[in-house]
Amino acid sequence: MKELATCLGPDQNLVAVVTLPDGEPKPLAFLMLNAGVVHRIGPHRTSVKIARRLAELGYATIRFDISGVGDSRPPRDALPFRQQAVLDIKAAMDHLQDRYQLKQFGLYGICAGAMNGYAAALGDERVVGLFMFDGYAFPTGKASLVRFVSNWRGRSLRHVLGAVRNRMRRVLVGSWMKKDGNPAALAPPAASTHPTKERFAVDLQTLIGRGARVVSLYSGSVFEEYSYQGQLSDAFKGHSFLTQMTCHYAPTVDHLVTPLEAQRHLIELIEDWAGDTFEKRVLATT
Amino acid sequence: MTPFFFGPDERQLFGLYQPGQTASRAGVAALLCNPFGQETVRAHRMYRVLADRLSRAGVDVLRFDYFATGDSPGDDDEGEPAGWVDDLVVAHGELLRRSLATRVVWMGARLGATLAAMASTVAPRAPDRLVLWEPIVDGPAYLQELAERHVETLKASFNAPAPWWSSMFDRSSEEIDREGVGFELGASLRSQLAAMKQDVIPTPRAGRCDLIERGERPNMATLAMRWRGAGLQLTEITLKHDFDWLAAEALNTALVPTEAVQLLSQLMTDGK
Repeated sequence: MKELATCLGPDQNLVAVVTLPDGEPKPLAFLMLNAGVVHRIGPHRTSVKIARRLAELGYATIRFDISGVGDSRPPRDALPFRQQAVLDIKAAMDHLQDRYQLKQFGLYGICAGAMNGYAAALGDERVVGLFMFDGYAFPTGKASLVRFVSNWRGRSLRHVLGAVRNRMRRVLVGSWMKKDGNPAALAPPAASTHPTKERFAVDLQTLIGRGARVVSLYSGSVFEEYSYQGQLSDAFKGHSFLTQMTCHYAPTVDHLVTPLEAQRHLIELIEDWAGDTFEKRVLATT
Repeated sequence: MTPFFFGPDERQLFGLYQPGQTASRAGVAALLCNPFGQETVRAHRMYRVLADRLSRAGVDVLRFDYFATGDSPGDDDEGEPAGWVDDLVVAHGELLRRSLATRVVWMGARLGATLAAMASTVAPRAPDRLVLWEPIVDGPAYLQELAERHVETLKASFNAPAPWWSSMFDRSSEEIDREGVGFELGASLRSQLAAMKQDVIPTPRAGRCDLIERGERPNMATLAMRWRGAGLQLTEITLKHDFDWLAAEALNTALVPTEAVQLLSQLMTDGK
């Protein structure tokens, strides 16, 4: 294994480390994207550990800081955050393509990294694999029930009844305010980059349709957004993309992958995704 | 900014070199020494901002990762303070090789401050100035802190309120001993930290030394007295702040305490 430090991008403003396996790399490389503001090593150095494990398996990887994060400065003409992140991800792929003739890529990201990866994957057909850890989630009725039961398990019946009463009161008061034309009650939710359910379905179908191998992993830290194994399937019942993507719920893994055991579990899941992407997408089409 | 690997083939280190802006070359070079584990993740942004500020003031700056940390080669469990002291000396040599500056300042926070103090006694050329921010001077207490914060971090990471939920993530004492807020603590690291006490930390060798503390710590007055008694020109400075070195919520927060960056850059560029 060999690691090379470099700067890349049109302004040479992106700080990166490329990890190359011993011998010729397989014709599929992986990009490790920033998790929020954590610099390119990833939470608890997980991106370094993943890169080195993938190198043992014969894959090249690049971990780098997008503009304005970690050690990378914003370029002279920076775009809004998500657009710039997509350009930066393309620049990293261009670097691997120009230097090492690698033309197919898998993107891995946690949280904002997952969302940046999702946006980049949609805009670049070189992306044949996407691993989203705590990316977009969609609510279901069962998720509310699971959370309610979890929140009140072990509490007295009096507490539970009190909570039900308060909840009903809030619902009734809310509907009365809406009828009354209270502007606050009618205000639309704040602008968000979260795709609508319809948009997400179209996007996933697009990625799956072009053969990309997609994995979505949800941790126990996002219990309020993702509460049980199968929530994504329930939210998108009847959509064919579900049969061709993988969804994991890992309640004992936290958002920052703190325990070493959780880190090992994450690395195993990424190994599986890398192997699956290589065999079913790269080898199958060459 | 230039990212690169340096040092002996068998123990390469990752570094980031930022030369001082030429219009205001100050003849000063600075070596920034990371703390340990999650504290390094938390401090990364602050070190970057400090490096930018120093560079703008004409200072040549080198940041680096000790072996088995950050982007440097090595697995978590291979890292240990004695090796990191040697890494610091290697980084010092690399800085001198790249910079034409005549004065060298080292700055370290937490365990990075302790390592800098130790390395100054073995470096071929001592730094002209040492800036030590809240050094770890009680290794056993630090290990205990890491263990407690590891469990607290896990409990805080799972926001379901039911008591059974958080108890799921309690670990045996053996497991806790090996993990420090997401980073593996190897046997050598644990044994060296266990032996790290105020009275065995050597008196630094430097033209002068600034010791920055948040408040009064039981061991620090004794340490400062011992160092002064050994002839070190030492200035004690109090810096009140409310940030948490070990907080795990770095995904959506940054750690750049303005007052700290101002103080550190002032100390490192005042020419004394």
